Amino acid sequence: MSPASVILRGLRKSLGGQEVVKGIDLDIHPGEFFSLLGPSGCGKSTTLRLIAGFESPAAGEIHINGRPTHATPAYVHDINLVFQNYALFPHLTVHQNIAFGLEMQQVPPAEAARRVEEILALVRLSGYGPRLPRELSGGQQQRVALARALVTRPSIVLLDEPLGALDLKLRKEMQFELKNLQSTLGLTFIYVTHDQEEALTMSDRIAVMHQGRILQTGTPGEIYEKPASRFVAGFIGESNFLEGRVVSRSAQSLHFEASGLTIQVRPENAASPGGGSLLTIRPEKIWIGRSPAPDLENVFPGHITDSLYYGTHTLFLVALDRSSLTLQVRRQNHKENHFRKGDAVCIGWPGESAWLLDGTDCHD
Amino acid sequence: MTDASKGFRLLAAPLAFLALFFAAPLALVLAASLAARGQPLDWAFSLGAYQRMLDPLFAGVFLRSAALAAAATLTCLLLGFPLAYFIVRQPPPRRRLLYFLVLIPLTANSLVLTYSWITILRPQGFLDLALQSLGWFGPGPFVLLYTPAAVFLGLTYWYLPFMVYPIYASLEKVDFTLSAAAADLGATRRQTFLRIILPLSTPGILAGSMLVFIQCLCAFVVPDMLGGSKTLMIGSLIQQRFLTLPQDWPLGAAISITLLALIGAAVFLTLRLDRSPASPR
Repeated sequence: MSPASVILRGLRKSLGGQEVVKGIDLDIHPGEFFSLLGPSGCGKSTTLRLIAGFESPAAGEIHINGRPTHATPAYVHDINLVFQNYALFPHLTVHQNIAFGLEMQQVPPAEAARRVEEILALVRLSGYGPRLPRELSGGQQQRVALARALVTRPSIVLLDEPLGALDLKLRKEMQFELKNLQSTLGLTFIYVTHDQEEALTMSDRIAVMHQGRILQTGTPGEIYEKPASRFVAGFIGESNFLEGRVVSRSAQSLHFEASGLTIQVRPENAASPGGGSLLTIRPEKIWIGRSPAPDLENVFPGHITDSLYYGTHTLFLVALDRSSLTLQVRRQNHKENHFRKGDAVCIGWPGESAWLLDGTDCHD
Repeated sequence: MTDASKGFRLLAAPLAFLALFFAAPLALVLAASLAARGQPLDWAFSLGAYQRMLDPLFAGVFLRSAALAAAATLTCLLLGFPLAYFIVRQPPPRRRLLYFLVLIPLTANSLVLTYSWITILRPQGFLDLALQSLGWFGPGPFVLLYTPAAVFLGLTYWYLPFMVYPIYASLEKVDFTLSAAAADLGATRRQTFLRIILPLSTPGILAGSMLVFIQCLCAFVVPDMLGGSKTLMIGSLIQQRFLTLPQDWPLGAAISITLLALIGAAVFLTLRLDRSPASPR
């Protein structure tokens, strides 16, 4: 693999007497769409500001394209930041806003004008050059902010919740556009978001942050399928959590006991080799039917206590007959999957669908 | 009752007040300026006062007033902008405190403040004594009192808050992530200031300069007490025409009206100039 374009080692930062970044180690590779994902206050934005050079770290190292920048937090030419509120200059036109960075780099005006037009076409805003930012919609302002960050051809673009102010439909459109731009231009994007769906759909890799630390780094698939802790499993998507313990193990399976149920789990589906005390099952991985399916390792009878209709799918709450547990089950809407409250059903899942965790989250 | 008539009822009191205490005296001054010279007033129509105003003797007073007002305005701007900028960038509790500190001179009695300036600037005053103790060896005492410099200092001191507040109000609306954005795009601090902060605070700069210049131009107490008879300014000139010999009420009124017209024109021009996107519409 090519050398990382951003390397963070033992990064720490306090704001207002409180440590908000508590030792971050990261390697972000060139051309990667990397997301820092976490709830607000987890330190993701501060980490981004440290990389951008707006803040200097209390401890640790930052290397950008092979150069250490933690000691001299000057604004690195090779990095541009897209601000959460866009930070467009209100008194300058769209064209002047985008040309600002080129002007600061003393690019000749003719070339600057050409490059501005080029980038305007790229973000589908050709012809909007003479307008003022306030004459544009939120989505258009967002694209101007992006164009302004891209036009100086940085190798790394930092994005601080850039879609946070847009409505849902526009946000989805922009997710596609951002991802396309990033892969077409071959840039490194470091993307801060609290929206787990946004991170899953766009990122090559994600670092899940909580309380100033990185809990897990991996591809969206790894983070979703093999969460390292209860926090990650709960923050990314929905999950059923079953507390219990491993009662026996063989080469093929572990037996996990939770609230009177014995559940078979594949040994390779345990976060640690010893097993764990918390079983997680995604609602969409649970099969549901009127009679038991013969080929599933884990099948339990129960009845529907509630259902939520989502259009494409329905979320059922199923209380298990032999246990005090109620599980969430998500099914595509289909004629055979039409159950009512009170219906007796069978639910089940294969051994590889559950994921076994330590159960204790190792952070303070 | 319609909303419009409700609105008019609410307006009735202030309108009556303005008509009685603002428009009527103004009309009286205008009428006086068009009266013939008399003892003290002869209500016969005449443009004589406006002709007497063009006396070269008064041109010097006008020019001196304009020059001192301009100098004081410029100095207030140079002092006031950094001050306003500094205050805006403070954390909120300290910002409020500093904001009110700037207000203090406005709350104090003007005569007391002017007398305290006299004690600073007079011979054997604080300034003189301080310079002497530092080894001032000029010919005689260092005295600013009754010079244009004293008027300039007084005006600058007096009207600085009127510069600070509009600029503060403008800067307060500036989103300072814009400086971060400019810096991120490679702008130096100087470039960020000239290209981003300064244009966005133009409305405040124009409003503040206008307020200070107009008030300096028309000032009476400060020039009269610190400038004396040697540094006559428009305000004192008008006052003298009404109260000291040779009295000439029409001339005093004509100067007042002319000043008002000039200021009106200046305000109008400034408003026309201030078409920057940062200004409210």
